[in-house]
Amino acid sequence: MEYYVTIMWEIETTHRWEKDHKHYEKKRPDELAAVTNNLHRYLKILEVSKNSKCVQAGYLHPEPGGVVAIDQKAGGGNLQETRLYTYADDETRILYLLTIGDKAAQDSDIEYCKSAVNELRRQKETNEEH
Amino acid sequence: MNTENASKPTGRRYGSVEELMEGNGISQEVQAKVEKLKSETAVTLHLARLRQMKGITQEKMAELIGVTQSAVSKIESGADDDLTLGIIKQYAKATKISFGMEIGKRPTHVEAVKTNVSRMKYHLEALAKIANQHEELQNDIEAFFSEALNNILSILAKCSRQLPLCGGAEKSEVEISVVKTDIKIPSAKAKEEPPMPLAV
Repeated sequence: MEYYVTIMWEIETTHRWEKDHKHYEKKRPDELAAVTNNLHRYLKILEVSKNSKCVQAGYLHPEPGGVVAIDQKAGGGNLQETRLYTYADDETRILYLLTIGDKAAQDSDIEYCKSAVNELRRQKETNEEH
Repeated sequence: MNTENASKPTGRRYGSVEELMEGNGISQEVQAKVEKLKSETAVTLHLARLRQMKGITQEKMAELIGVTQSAVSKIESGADDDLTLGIIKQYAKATKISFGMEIGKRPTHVEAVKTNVSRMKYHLEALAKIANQHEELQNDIEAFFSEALNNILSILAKCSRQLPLCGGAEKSEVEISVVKTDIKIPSAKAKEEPPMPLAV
Protein backbone atom coordinates (compact mmCIF):
# COMPACT_ATOMS: atom_id res chain seq x y z
CA MET A 1 0.00 0.00 0.00
CA GLU A 2 1.27 3.49 -0.79
CA TYR A 3 0.77 6.37 1.59
CA TYR A 4 0.12 9.91 0.48
CA VAL A 5 0.55 13.08 2.45
CA THR A 6 -1.57 16.04 1.47
CA ILE A 7 0.32 19.31 1.67
CA MET A 8 -1.84 22.37 2.13
CA TRP A 9 -1.51 25.45 0.00
CA GLU A 10 -2.54 28.93 1.01
CA ILE A 11 -4.23 31.56 -1.12
CA GLU A 12 -2.91 35.10 -0.95
CA THR A 13 -4.76 38.00 -2.51
CA THR A 14 -3.22 41.02 -4.24
CA HIS A 15 -4.60 44.56 -4.20
CA ARG A 16 -5.64 44.38 -7.85
CA TRP A 17 -7.61 41.15 -7.33
CA GLU A 18 -9.40 42.56 -4.30
CA LYS A 19 -10.51 45.52 -6.41
CA ASP A 20 -11.47 43.53 -9.52
CA HIS A 21 -13.41 40.75 -7.83
CA LYS A 22 -15.78 43.30 -6.29
CA HIS A 23 -16.75 44.44 -9.78
CA TYR A 24 -17.34 40.83 -10.80
CA GLU A 25 -19.44 40.14 -7.76
CA LYS A 26 -21.79 42.95 -8.70
CA LYS A 27 -21.89 42.43 -12.46
CA ARG A 28 -21.16 38.73 -12.98
CA PRO A 29 -21.91 36.72 -9.79
CA ASP A 30 -22.44 33.44 -11.68
CA GLU A 31 -19.09 33.75 -13.43
CA LEU A 32 -17.37 34.62 -10.13
CA ALA A 33 -18.95 31.53 -8.50
CA ALA A 34 -17.84 29.32 -11.40
CA VAL A 35 -14.19 30.43 -11.37
CA THR A 36 -14.16 30.25 -7.55
CA ASN A 37 -15.32 26.63 -7.70
CA ASN A 38 -12.55 25.88 -10.20
CA LEU A 39 -10.08 27.67 -7.92
CA HIS A 40 -11.21 25.23 -5.20
CA ARG A 41 -10.64 22.31 -7.58
CA TYR A 42 -7.18 23.63 -8.57
CA LEU A 43 -6.18 23.96 -4.89
CA LYS A 44 -7.34 20.44 -4.07
CA ILE A 45 -5.25 19.04 -6.91
CA LEU A 46 -2.22 21.16 -5.98
CA GLU A 47 -2.41 19.57 -2.51
CA VAL A 48 -1.57 16.17 -3.97
CA SER A 49 0.88 17.35 -6.64
CA LYS A 50 4.65 17.36 -6.50
CA ASN A 51 4.70 20.76 -8.15
CA SER A 52 2.25 23.14 -9.75
CA LYS A 53 3.66 22.66 -13.25
CA CYS A 54 2.40 19.08 -13.44
CA VAL A 55 -1.25 19.98 -12.77
CA GLN A 56 -3.41 19.45 -15.84
CA ALA A 57 -7.08 20.36 -15.95
CA GLY A 58 -9.46 21.46 -18.68
CA TYR A 59 -10.31 24.66 -16.81
CA LEU A 60 -6.63 25.66 -16.42
CA HIS A 61 -4.72 27.61 -19.05
CA PRO A 62 -0.97 28.02 -18.67
CA GLU A 63 0.02 31.52 -19.77
CA PRO A 64 3.49 33.02 -20.26
CA GLY A 65 5.63 33.84 -17.24
CA GLY A 66 4.25 31.11 -14.96
CA VAL A 67 0.76 32.60 -14.86
CA VAL A 68 -2.14 30.13 -14.79
CA ALA A 69 -5.62 31.26 -15.82
CA ILE A 70 -8.66 29.50 -14.37
CA ASP A 71 -11.81 29.56 -16.49
CA GLN A 72 -15.53 29.16 -15.74
CA LYS A 73 -16.03 25.57 -17.06
CA ALA A 74 -18.71 23.43 -15.35
CA GLY A 75 -20.32 26.58 -13.97
CA GLY A 76 -23.51 26.17 -15.99
CA GLY A 77 -24.63 27.29 -19.41
CA ASN A 78 -24.42 30.74 -20.99
CA LEU A 79 -21.67 32.08 -18.81
CA GLN A 80 -19.39 34.75 -20.18
CA GLU A 81 -15.81 33.56 -20.80
CA THR A 82 -13.98 34.53 -17.62
CA ARG A 83 -10.40 34.12 -16.44
CA LEU A 84 -9.09 34.21 -12.88
CA TYR A 85 -5.33 34.74 -13.14
CA THR A 86 -3.10 33.06 -10.58
CA TYR A 87 0.54 32.42 -9.85
CA ALA A 88 1.64 29.38 -7.83
CA ASP A 89 4.84 29.69 -5.81
CA ASP A 90 5.97 26.10 -5.29
CA GLU A 91 8.58 27.03 -2.68
CA THR A 92 6.21 28.76 -0.29
CA ARG A 93 3.10 26.89 -1.44
CA ILE A 94 1.23 30.13 -1.88
CA LEU A 95 -1.22 30.64 -4.72
CA TYR A 96 -1.46 34.34 -5.55
CA LEU A 97 -4.69 35.69 -7.01
CA LEU A 98 -3.61 38.35 -9.51
CA THR A 99 -6.77 39.54 -11.22
CA ILE A 100 -10.00 38.44 -12.86
CA GLY A 101 -11.27 39.50 -16.28
CA ASP A 102 -13.27 38.58 -19.37
CA LYS A 103 -12.16 37.36 -22.77
CA ALA A 104 -12.08 40.87 -24.23
CA ALA A 105 -9.49 42.00 -21.69
CA GLN A 106 -7.47 38.77 -21.95
CA ASP A 107 -4.43 40.18 -23.79
CA SER A 108 -4.00 43.17 -21.51
CA ASP A 109 -4.72 41.05 -18.40
CA ILE A 110 -2.00 38.58 -19.40
CA GLU A 111 0.47 41.41 -19.98
CA TYR A 112 -0.40 42.83 -16.55
CA CYS A 113 -0.05 39.39 -14.91
CA LYS A 114 3.38 38.80 -16.46
CA SER A 115 4.63 42.06 -14.95
CA ALA A 116 2.87 41.30 -11.68
CA VAL A 117 4.63 37.93 -11.40
CA ASN A 118 7.98 39.56 -12.17
CA GLU A 119 7.25 42.08 -9.45
CA LEU A 120 6.29 39.33 -6.98
CA ARG A 121 9.53 37.49 -7.77
CA ARG A 122 11.53 40.69 -7.39
CA GLN A 123 9.90 41.45 -4.04
CA LYS A 124 10.60 37.89 -2.88
CA GLU A 125 14.27 38.17 -3.86
CA THR A 126 14.56 41.52 -2.08
CA ASN A 127 12.99 40.03 1.06
CA GLU A 128 15.36 37.08 0.93
CA GLU A 129 18.38 39.40 0.61
CA HIS A 130 17.32 41.17 3.79
CA MET B 1 -2.84 51.87 -9.27
CA ASN B 2 0.47 51.00 -11.00
CA THR B 3 1.61 47.39 -11.46
CA GLU B 4 4.03 47.60 -8.56
CA ASN B 5 1.34 48.60 -6.08
CA ALA B 6 -1.50 46.59 -7.65
CA SER B 7 0.48 43.36 -7.69
CA LYS B 8 1.57 43.73 -4.08
CA PRO B 9 0.26 40.90 -1.93
CA THR B 10 -2.19 42.12 0.68
CA GLY B 11 -0.66 39.88 3.33
CA ARG B 12 -4.05 38.25 3.79
CA ARG B 13 -3.79 34.50 3.43
CA TYR B 14 -6.49 31.88 3.37
CA GLY B 15 -6.38 28.11 3.73
CA SER B 16 -9.41 27.45 1.54
CA VAL B 17 -11.85 29.17 -0.82
CA GLU B 18 -14.41 29.21 1.99
CA GLU B 19 -12.04 31.29 4.10
CA LEU B 20 -11.21 33.45 1.08
CA MET B 21 -14.89 34.21 0.39
CA GLU B 22 -15.60 34.90 4.05
CA GLY B 23 -12.51 37.08 4.42
CA ASN B 24 -13.25 39.11 1.29
CA GLY B 25 -16.88 39.74 2.19
CA ILE B 26 -18.23 37.81 -0.80
CA SER B 27 -22.02 37.74 -0.60
CA GLN B 28 -23.95 34.80 0.79
CA GLU B 29 -25.57 34.46 -2.63
CA VAL B 30 -22.25 33.84 -4.40
CA GLN B 31 -21.05 31.61 -1.54
CA ALA B 32 -24.19 29.49 -1.92
CA LYS B 33 -23.62 29.21 -5.68
CA VAL B 34 -20.03 28.06 -5.08
CA GLU B 35 -21.21 25.45 -2.55
CA LYS B 36 -23.75 24.16 -5.08
CA LEU B 37 -21.09 23.92 -7.81
CA LYS B 38 -18.73 22.16 -5.41
CA SER B 39 -21.35 19.51 -4.71
CA GLU B 40 -21.96 19.12 -8.46
CA THR B 41 -18.25 18.56 -9.23
CA ALA B 42 -17.13 16.61 -6.14
CA VAL B 43 -16.74 13.26 -7.93
CA THR B 44 -14.89 14.60 -10.97
CA LEU B 45 -12.54 16.40 -8.59
CA HIS B 46 -12.02 13.14 -6.73
CA LEU B 47 -11.10 11.36 -9.96
CA ALA B 48 -8.65 14.13 -10.94
CA ARG B 49 -7.02 13.96 -7.49
CA LEU B 50 -6.68 10.18 -7.71
CA ARG B 51 -4.90 10.48 -11.04
CA GLN B 52 -2.65 13.26 -9.76
CA MET B 53 -1.79 11.36 -6.54
CA LYS B 54 -0.64 8.46 -8.67
CA GLY B 55 1.49 10.77 -10.82
CA ILE B 56 -0.43 9.73 -13.94
CA THR B 57 -0.67 12.34 -16.72
CA GLN B 58 -3.90 12.87 -18.64
CA GLU B 59 -2.21 11.31 -21.68
CA LYS B 60 -1.30 8.17 -19.73
CA MET B 61 -4.77 7.95 -18.19
CA ALA B 62 -6.26 8.21 -21.67
CA GLU B 63 -4.12 5.27 -22.74
CA LEU B 64 -5.07 3.25 -19.64
CA ILE B 65 -8.81 3.70 -20.05
CA GLY B 66 -8.88 3.70 -23.84
CA VAL B 67 -10.03 7.23 -24.60
CA THR B 68 -8.36 10.39 -25.91
CA GLN B 69 -6.52 12.91 -23.71
CA SER B 70 -9.16 15.53 -24.45
CA ALA B 71 -11.84 13.10 -23.24
CA VAL B 72 -9.96 12.72 -19.93
CA SER B 73 -9.69 16.49 -19.67
CA LYS B 74 -13.42 16.83 -20.35
CA ILE B 75 -14.31 14.18 -17.75
CA GLU B 76 -12.21 15.82 -15.02
CA SER B 77 -13.27 19.39 -15.71
CA GLY B 78 -16.93 18.57 -16.19
CA ALA B 79 -19.85 18.05 -13.86
CA ASP B 80 -20.66 14.82 -11.98
CA ASP B 81 -23.92 14.40 -13.88
CA ASP B 82 -21.96 13.70 -17.06
CA LEU B 83 -20.08 10.79 -15.48
CA THR B 84 -21.01 7.14 -15.83
CA LEU B 85 -20.30 4.33 -13.38
CA GLY B 86 -18.16 2.80 -16.11
CA ILE B 87 -15.80 5.79 -16.13
CA ILE B 88 -15.51 5.70 -12.34
CA LYS B 89 -14.72 1.97 -12.43
CA GLN B 90 -12.09 2.53 -15.13
CA TYR B 91 -10.40 5.27 -13.06
CA ALA B 92 -10.40 3.02 -10.00
CA LYS B 93 -8.86 0.19 -12.01
CA ALA B 94 -6.25 2.44 -13.67
CA THR B 95 -5.19 4.00 -10.36
CA LYS B 96 -5.35 0.63 -8.55
CA ILE B 97 -7.48 2.12 -5.82
CA SER B 98 -10.58 0.55 -4.41
CA PHE B 99 -13.56 2.77 -3.95
CA GLY B 100 -16.81 2.60 -2.06
CA MET B 101 -20.07 4.21 -2.89
CA GLU B 102 -22.80 5.04 -0.47
CA ILE B 103 -26.33 5.44 -1.65
CA GLY B 104 -28.74 6.67 0.95
CA LYS B 105 -29.26 9.57 3.25
CA ARG B 106 -26.40 11.96 3.84
CA PRO B 107 -24.70 11.38 7.19
CA THR B 108 -25.62 13.71 10.01
CA HIS B 109 -22.90 16.06 11.28
CA VAL B 110 -22.34 13.77 14.28
CA GLU B 111 -22.04 10.69 12.05
CA ALA B 112 -19.66 12.54 9.72
CA VAL B 113 -17.42 13.60 12.63
CA LYS B 114 -17.36 10.02 13.97
CA THR B 115 -16.49 8.60 10.55
CA ASN B 116 -13.72 11.11 10.02
CA VAL B 117 -12.28 10.52 13.49
CA SER B 118 -12.20 6.82 12.76
CA ARG B 119 -10.41 7.41 9.43
CA MET B 120 -7.99 9.82 11.09
CA LYS B 121 -7.18 7.21 13.73
CA TYR B 122 -6.48 4.67 11.00
CA HIS B 123 -4.07 7.00 9.18
CA LEU B 124 -2.32 8.21 12.33
CA GLU B 125 -1.74 4.62 13.39
CA ALA B 126 -0.34 3.89 9.92
CA LEU B 127 2.02 6.87 10.20
CA ALA B 128 3.14 5.77 13.67
CA LYS B 129 3.86 2.33 12.24
CA ILE B 130 5.92 3.87 9.43
CA ALA B 131 7.84 5.97 11.97
CA ASN B 132 8.77 2.75 13.76
CA GLN B 133 9.86 1.07 10.56
CA HIS B 134 11.78 3.97 8.99
CA GLU B 135 14.16 5.71 11.34
CA GLU B 136 14.90 8.45 8.78
CA LEU B 137 11.25 9.54 8.82
CA GLN B 138 10.80 9.65 12.60
CA ASN B 139 11.51 13.37 12.99
CA ASP B 140 9.23 14.43 10.14
CA ILE B 141 6.39 12.24 11.34
CA GLU B 142 6.79 13.44 14.92
CA ALA B 143 6.70 17.05 13.68
CA PHE B 144 3.58 16.24 11.66
CA PHE B 145 1.90 14.71 14.74
CA SER B 146 2.74 17.80 16.71
CA GLU B 147 1.26 20.12 14.06
CA ALA B 148 -1.78 17.88 13.69
CA LEU B 149 -2.35 17.84 17.45
CA ASN B 150 -2.10 21.62 17.56
CA ASN B 151 -4.57 22.00 14.73
CA ILE B 152 -7.07 19.51 16.15
CA LEU B 153 -7.02 21.28 19.51
CA SER B 154 -7.33 24.68 17.80
CA ILE B 155 -10.31 23.53 15.75
CA LEU B 156 -12.02 22.09 18.83
CA ALA B 157 -11.36 25.28 20.80
CA LYS B 158 -12.55 27.49 17.93
CA CYS B 159 -15.75 25.54 17.41
CA SER B 160 -16.44 25.21 21.13
CA ARG B 161 -16.32 28.99 21.47
CA GLN B 162 -19.19 29.22 19.02
CA LEU B 163 -21.46 27.29 21.38
CA PRO B 164 -24.30 29.34 22.95
CA LEU B 165 -22.80 29.33 26.44
CA CYS B 166 -19.54 30.69 25.03
CA GLY B 167 -20.99 33.60 23.10
CA GLY B 168 -22.68 31.88 20.16
CA ALA B 169 -21.56 32.66 16.62
CA GLU B 170 -18.88 35.17 17.68
CA LYS B 171 -15.63 34.77 15.80
CA SER B 172 -12.92 33.03 17.75
CA GLU B 173 -9.45 34.50 17.96
CA VAL B 174 -7.84 31.07 17.68
CA GLU B 175 -5.54 30.78 14.70
CA ILE B 176 -5.22 27.45 12.96
CA SER B 177 -1.71 26.88 11.74
CA VAL B 178 -1.30 25.38 8.33
CA VAL B 179 0.24 21.95 8.16
CA LYS B 180 3.07 22.19 5.69
CA THR B 181 5.20 19.30 6.83
CA ASP B 182 6.38 17.42 3.80
CA ILE B 183 6.95 13.74 4.45
CA LYS B 184 8.22 11.55 1.65
CA ILE B 185 7.01 8.12 2.58
CA PRO B 186 8.16 5.04 0.67
CA SER B 187 5.78 2.32 -0.38
CA ALA B 188 5.07 -0.14 2.38
CA LYS B 189 2.94 -3.19 2.88
CA ALA B 190 -0.10 -2.95 5.10
CA LYS B 191 -2.73 -5.47 5.99
CA GLU B 192 -5.80 -3.45 5.28
CA GLU B 193 -6.67 -0.38 3.32
CA PRO B 194 -9.87 1.56 3.84
CA PRO B 195 -11.80 2.24 0.65
CA MET B 196 -11.55 5.73 -0.81
CA PRO B 197 -15.03 7.13 -0.29
CA LEU B 198 -16.69 8.99 -3.10
CA ALA B 199 -18.67 12.02 -2.10
CA VAL B 200 -21.87 11.11 -3.88
